[in-house]
Formats: sequence, C-alpha cells, structure tokens
Amino acid sequence: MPIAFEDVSFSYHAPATKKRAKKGVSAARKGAPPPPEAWALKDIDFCLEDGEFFGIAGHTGSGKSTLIQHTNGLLHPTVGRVLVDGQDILDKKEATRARSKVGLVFQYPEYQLFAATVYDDVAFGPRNMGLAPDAVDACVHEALAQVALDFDTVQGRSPFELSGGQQRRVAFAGVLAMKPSVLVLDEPVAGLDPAARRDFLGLITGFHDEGLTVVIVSHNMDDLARLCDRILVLKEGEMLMLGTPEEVFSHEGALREVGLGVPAAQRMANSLKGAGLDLEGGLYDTARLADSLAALYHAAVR
Amino acid sequence: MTAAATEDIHIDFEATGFTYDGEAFVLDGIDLVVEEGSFVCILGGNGSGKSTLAKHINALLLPDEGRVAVFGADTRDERSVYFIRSNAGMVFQNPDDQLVASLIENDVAFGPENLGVPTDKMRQRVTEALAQVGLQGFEKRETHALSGGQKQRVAIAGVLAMDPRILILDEASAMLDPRGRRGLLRVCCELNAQGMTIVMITHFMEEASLADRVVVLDAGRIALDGVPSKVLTQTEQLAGLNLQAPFACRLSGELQRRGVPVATHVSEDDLKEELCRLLSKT
Repeated sequence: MPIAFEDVSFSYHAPATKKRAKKGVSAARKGAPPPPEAWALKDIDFCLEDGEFFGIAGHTGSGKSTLIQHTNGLLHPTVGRVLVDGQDILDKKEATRARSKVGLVFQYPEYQLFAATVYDDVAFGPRNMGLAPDAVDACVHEALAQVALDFDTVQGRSPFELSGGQQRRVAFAGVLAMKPSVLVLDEPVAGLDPAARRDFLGLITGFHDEGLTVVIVSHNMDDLARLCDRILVLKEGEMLMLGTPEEVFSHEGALREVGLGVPAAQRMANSLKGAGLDLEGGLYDTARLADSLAALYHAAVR
Repeated sequence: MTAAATEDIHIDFEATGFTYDGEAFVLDGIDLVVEEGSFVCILGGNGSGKSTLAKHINALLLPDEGRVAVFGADTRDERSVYFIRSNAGMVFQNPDDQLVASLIENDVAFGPENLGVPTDKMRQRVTEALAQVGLQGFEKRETHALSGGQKQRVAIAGVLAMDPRILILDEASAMLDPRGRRGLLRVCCELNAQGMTIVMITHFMEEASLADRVVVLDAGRIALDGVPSKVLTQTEQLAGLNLQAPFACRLSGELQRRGVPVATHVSEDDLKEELCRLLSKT
C-alpha cells in the first residue's frame, strides 16, 4: 500500500478547508497565501513504497511530526495531495480507510494509555472498528504476542502498574491490534536505555520482516543507517535529502549544518580520511571500519 | 551564609535505602560523596534507581534507610528543606512540563520572586541567568515559540536565578535533537568551569565522557564508580548493566580483536590521533 506525497505543502495557519474536502479537489486555497515562514511543510514530493523501511530525520521543528500526521489524514495538505493506495485521502471515506491501514505511534506513546486494563486498552481500536467480541479477542491476543508480552500475565492489569518499557509495548500493541499494513513510529525508542532500545528496534525489525511497511522518525543516525532502506532528511519543512543511507550520510557537512550528524563510525571514517588515511568510500559501520583499519595496519607491518 | 554552606562536601549519601512500596528497595545501600565543583554523571539502565537517587539530593524524596546530607544538612530535617532546595536546583526530562509562564522573563523570575528577591535585583538575576545559558536578550520572548533545547535552557536559567550551588539534570537531554543536546551540554560544562557542581543523569555515553566522574547504578546499588576513562572502557560490564560503551571504546575493542595494538580510548579524538600515528607510517 504505497503512500504518495504529491507536492505537499502545509501551513497550520491555512489548513485544508471542509469545502475542499467535500469537493474532493486539491486546488490551492483561495485568498492570500500564508507568509513564507508559516509553511510547516513545503513541496514534499516522494512515494513511500510497499515493504520499505523508511527513515525520517530532521532537527526539532523541521516538520517531521507534521509530515507523519499527513500519512493517515490527521492533517490534510494546504497545497498538493496525499494518495494512499492511489486514493486521495482528503476524501473522508478514504481517510477513514487510511486510518485503519496506517498505524501511527506517537512519541512517548505510553502517555496515551488510558483504559483500566491492558486488555481494554489494546481492544479499544478493534472495538471501535465494530469487530465482534471474538474477533476483538483474537486481535488482542495476537497484538500482545507481537510485542512479546504474556497475555495471561498482563491482560487484567492496569497499564499504569507496568514498567515504562512494558507500557510502551502495550501502546504499540494498541496500534498493531488495528492490523495496519503501514506502521509509522515517531521516535519509538526515545528515553529507553541501550538494552531496551535494542529490544524495541528488534521488535520493529520483526514487524518489518513480517511484511509491514515501517516509517521511523529518529535523531539517532546509527539506528537509521543500520535499519533503513531510504532516509528522508527535512530542513525547515523542506526535503533536504532523500536517498539510501550511503547516499545521505556521504553529506556530513550538509547534515551538520542542520544540526544532525552522521553515524559514529562514518564520522570517524571521514575524519581519518581527512587526516590522510587510505580508506575506501561508502558507508561505514563499526565492524566495517575496524576491518578496513585492521587491513591497513596488517599491510603496513607486513 | 550558614555554617553548613562552607562545607566542601556538597552531597553525602550514607547507606541510603529507599522504597516506593515498602517491599522493593529502589535504592539499596547507596554510599556516595560528591564534592564541591565536581561534574558527576549518573548512568544506569531503566529502573536502576537513577532518578530516584537524583530526587534525594533536593529532598523531593526522603530516604527510608540511612541518611542524605546536602551541605551538611540532613534532608529529613524539615527546617533544612528550604535551604537545600534553594541551593540544589533540578531540571527534568520534558521541556514542556517545566515552564510556568508565557513570557521568558516571568518564567525565569518565578523562583527568585517566590524567594522575595527585590524587583531590581531580580531583573539583574534574570538577565544574568539568561546570559549564562546563552539566551541573552530573550527576556520578552514567548516560551511556547522556543525549541525543546531552548526551553531546557530556560528551565536551567530558572534554576540559576535561584543562585544554587548544585545543578541536577534528570535526563534533561533525552527529548532533544542532537543540536539541542550539544547546546545543553556546552552550558553545563561552562557552568561547571565557573564552579557549579553538576549532577547529570543520562543514557548518553558521549555526555558521560565529559564528566569528571561516572557513577553507574544497577538495581539501586553502585556498580561502577570512577573517572570516565576507567568506567566507560569496561565494555562488557557496561553491556551487562544494559548500557553501551561509547563508540570510541567499542571501536578500540573491535580493533584489538583484529590484532591492532591500540589502547582503549573514551574520546574519539584520542583514538583518531593514535590511529593516525599507527597507520600513517605506510
């Protein structure tokens, strides 16, 4: 289920109007255009492909959260269109359909838990979709299994009695219970310790392996480099770069300018190359950098 | 100045135990002395007791066992709490939870105003505090229009306006982007250079490498304690404590495993220098 952004611009001062929504056309809004600094997104044009692992990076206020809220019609473009499966989601019916197919997990999702028991929290979405109790039950079982929580242990407990990491798993399960085909995660491992980060990123990789399209917003360049097929870098609401990790992280200077960086191993490789060491191009992770440096060393001492 | 304020020892945990529910001890026999002017980083996995420990420093939590003394004053002594809180300021994780006013100067002035500082002196303190965090001239700006990193710096300015001697940061950079994190760290280093005692709770190893002491907690106990070059280089122990050694240490380790004779470095610059020396002979 591809999601296509077609020349999308968005301003919080000039959101899409009801009238536009009714007509289902995406003509530019009438009246004076918003001032240039008011654009939260400007000329966003790309297509999220089926089965992709897609990363979004950018400094605070670069439009990352605004962009992901366009993927399932929580926000509508001021200019341009968002097509989910070829259908403009400005249309109310299409937006509703998109919402059941594109699961959004916000930052610190555990803050949004609300029900008296874990079961009710996870069941909220499926129940809202009008599923029969049996089907809801199956959804909850499956979703809790997907996030590696034991159904019998947690289902009757209050989510607020659980640890922070478990709460976040419950929040993930609430979105997975809707059986989305695209999962959009805003900073899914923020605030977790390194071991918990690894566990959660492992879970997310697992969802992707099972066929979900995954979009992940992150400040962690190491994670993005390791996990993503493509990375979109935003700068003040505009697309600064879009490409494979290798392409994106070859521009260390430009990334630094927008307050980001490159993965630690890449940074070290670039810096060693700058100091005159004979390292090849391409993307480096810790193991590859160690291999290359060891080869240089052993060649030198031979 | 009270007599206690002349003590060199700022923070003194003696066999401190704490439990939220009367069963599980979140702090379990903490002995820790922090001296004036030091920059201490507290590390530990989720649930290791880091934040609980931090909240003991300014009497937000009181020990169930042992004692905590700040400037020689017992945190359980109600008469000392006011003195302790005005000298040990704390900044928390979420920038949006900590600002109380819509105008920056009002927000920074909130603390001193409550202390009854006269208006003239207060203005001066607000101006100074904003300068200390690199936000000169931001007095009349509105807090909601700031970035997360700027909001955290305003929160720090609010603490600095109280003229404290200890600044405690409880994962204050967790929600910031890399630039915001670097800015916050720079402010902490500058304040420390001016003599402020800094206690920083974090998950980020690169931040810990800048401290002059690192304390690692595990299940409410101190697992490791020492200078960064001693503690952060213990790659395997750290992994066992749900932490990850800084990148330079991990790369050093990978190189050693491949037969390259480098020392284990905490700083990337130091590792780079050694590699250049070693490899540029070709």
